[in-house]
Amino acid sequence: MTMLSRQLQIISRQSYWAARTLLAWGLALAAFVGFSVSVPHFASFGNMYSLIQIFAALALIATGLGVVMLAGEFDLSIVGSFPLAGLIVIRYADGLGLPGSLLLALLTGITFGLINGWAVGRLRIPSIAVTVATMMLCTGLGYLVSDNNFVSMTDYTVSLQLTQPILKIFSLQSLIALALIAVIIGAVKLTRWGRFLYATGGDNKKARASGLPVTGTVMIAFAVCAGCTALAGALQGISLASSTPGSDFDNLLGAATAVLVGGIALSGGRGSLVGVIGGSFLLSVVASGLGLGGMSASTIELVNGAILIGVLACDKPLARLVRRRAEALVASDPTPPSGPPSGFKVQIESARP
Amino acid sequence: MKLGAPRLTQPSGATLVAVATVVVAVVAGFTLDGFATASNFRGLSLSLSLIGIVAVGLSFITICGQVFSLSISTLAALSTICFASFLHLGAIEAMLVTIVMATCLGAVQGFIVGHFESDPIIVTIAANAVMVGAGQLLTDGQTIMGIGDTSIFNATIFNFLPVEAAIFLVVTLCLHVALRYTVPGRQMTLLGLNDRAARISAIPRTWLIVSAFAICGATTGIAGALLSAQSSSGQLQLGAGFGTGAIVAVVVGGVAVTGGIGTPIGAAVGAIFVGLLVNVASLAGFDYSLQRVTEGVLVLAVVVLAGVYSRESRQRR
Repeated sequence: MTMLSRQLQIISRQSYWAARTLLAWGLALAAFVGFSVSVPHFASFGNMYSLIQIFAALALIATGLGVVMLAGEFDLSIVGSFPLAGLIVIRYADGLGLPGSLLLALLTGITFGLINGWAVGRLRIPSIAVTVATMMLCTGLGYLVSDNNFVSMTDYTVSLQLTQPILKIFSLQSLIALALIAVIIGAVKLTRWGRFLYATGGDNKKARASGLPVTGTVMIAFAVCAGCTALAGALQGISLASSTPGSDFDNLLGAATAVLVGGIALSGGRGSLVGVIGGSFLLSVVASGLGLGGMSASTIELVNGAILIGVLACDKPLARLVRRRAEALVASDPTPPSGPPSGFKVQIESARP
Repeated sequence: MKLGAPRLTQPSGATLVAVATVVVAVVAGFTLDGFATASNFRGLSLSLSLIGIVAVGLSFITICGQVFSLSISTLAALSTICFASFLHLGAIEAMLVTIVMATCLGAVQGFIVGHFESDPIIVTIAANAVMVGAGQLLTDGQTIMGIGDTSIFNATIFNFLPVEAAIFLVVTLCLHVALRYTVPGRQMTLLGLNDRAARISAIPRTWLIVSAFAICGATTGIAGALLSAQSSSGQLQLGAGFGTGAIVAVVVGGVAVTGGIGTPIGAAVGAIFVGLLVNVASLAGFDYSLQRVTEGVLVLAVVVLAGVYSRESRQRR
C-alpha cells in the first residue's frame, strides 16, 4: 500500500510539473493572441522583431538562472555580471579588437561563475551569501573598468550588423541567443550532467551520498548561468554601443519571474527549461503589448513585480493541493495504476522518504 | 556540540571585527593626516550612522533565517519622498509618518514571505520592482522639495555627537535588548537556527517573520527620513547605497547568513568597520570604484572564510 501511494504521488507530482510547463506556454499563447486582437500593429513585422529581441535576451538569462535553480541554488550575481560584461566588451573593444574583448568578457563572467559554483558546491556555503558577494564585486569591477563613467564604442558597424533584421523578425543577436538556449536545453535533457542536475536539486545530500559528482555539477551549472548572463550582457553592450556602470536588478527580476512562471520549483530538481522559455515568452509578450498599448516603463515594472508576487503566493498552496489530491486518490482508489513511468527521475523520486 | 558550536563562534566573529576596527582606527590616527580631527570624526559618524541604522534592522531578517531584503534601497528612497512630502506638518511628525509607512511596507513583504513560505530574496526583488514603479508614478521622477524646519535632526549634541549618530546608538541598544532579552527575540533566533524545531515547538512563525521585516522597514524608514532631513528633499535616487552597505555590514559583523547566529550590535560594529575602511580609503586617495571593489572582496573573503571554518568544524565532529 505504501509503495502504491508513493507511486501515485510520483505520477501526480510529475503531471503537475508537466502541467506547469503547458500552463506557461498556454498563458503565453493566449496573451499573444489577446494582444494581437486588441492592440493595433502588435502582430506587425516591426513589432515582432522588437518582441523577439526582448524575448531572446530575457530567455537567455532565464535559461541560465533556470539551470542554477534546477540544481536547487540561486544566482544573484546576475545583477552585477550582466552590466560588467557589456562594460568590458565596450571598454576594451578599441584596444583588443571586438573578438578579443568579447572573449575577455565571457571569460571574466565564467570565472565568476566557477567561483560561485566552487564556493557553493565544495564549501557548501549558501548560494545567496556567495552570489551577494560576487554581485557586489562585479558591480565594483564595473565601476573600475569604466572609471565611474559612461563608456561608448567608436565603431558602430558591428552594432548595426548585429541588430540587422534577418527574415524580417530575427537578428544575428537573437539567433545567437536562441541557438545557445537550444544547446543548453539539449544538454540538460540528454547528457548525464543534466540528470545529475535534477538529482542534485532534488536532494543534495542523497545525491552526494550516492556518489554523484555534486560539486562538479553545481560548478558547471553556475558557469553555464554566468556564461549566458555574460553573453547576454555583451551582446546588449555591442548592440547599443554604450553602457553605464551600476547594478541591474531588472534583468534578474525578469529572469526569476520567467523561471518561476515556467514551473521550476524554488526548492530545485523539478520543472523543465521548456517551461522557462514559455515563461520568458509570456513576460516579453506582456511587456511588448503593454508598451505598445501606451503604458509607461514604470507601470510595466510594477506589473512585472506584481506578477512575480502573485506567482509566489500561489506556488506553495498549489503544490500542497496537489499533494493532498494525490493522497485522497490513494484513499479512494485501491486499484494499482497502469505502468508507472520509468527512468532515472523515478528512481531518484522513490528514494525520497 | 551542535548547539555549542555556534555559541562558541558567535562572540569571536563580532569581537574580531571590533578589534580590527580599533586597530585600523589607531593605525590611521597615527599615519594619515586629517584622520584624527573633529571634522573628520563628524563626517565619519554621519556617513556610517545611516547605514548602521539600516544594518541593525536588517540583522533581524538575517538572524530570523530569512537571509536579506533586497528592497532596502528603494524603501529608503520612498522614505525620503514620504518625509519630504509631509515635512510641512513638522519634522518630528514627518518622521513618525515615514516610520509608519516604511514599517507597513516591510510588514507586507514579511507577510508574503512568512504566510506563503516564499523565498525572501525573490519576494523582496519583486517588492523592489513594485515600489520603484509606484515611486516613479507618484513622483514622475522629480525631486520633491520639503518645506519645513529640519534643524532638529541636523543638530550636534554637546558640540560632539551628531543627532544621527545618537539615534544610531539608541536604536542599536534597544534592538539588541529586544533580540537578546525578550521572548519574541529568542524565538526569532530559534527560528533562524532551526526552522523545523521552531515549527514543532509551535512558535508563531509567520508573526515573527512579519515582525523581523517590520523592524527592518522601520529602521530603513528612520534612515531614509534622516537622509531626507539633510537636504529637505526626497527622490528615488537617494539612499541607493543603503542596500548593499547594510548587507556588507551584516555579513562583516559576524551575522551568519544561514540565520540564528549574530547580534544587532555585531551588525552595528560591522557598519562602523566598513564605514571606517571607506573613510580611510578615501583619505588615502582611493577612488569610488576601488572602494566598491574592496567592499566586494571583503564580503567574499568573510563568506568564504566562514564557510571554510564551518566545514572544518563539521569534519572534526
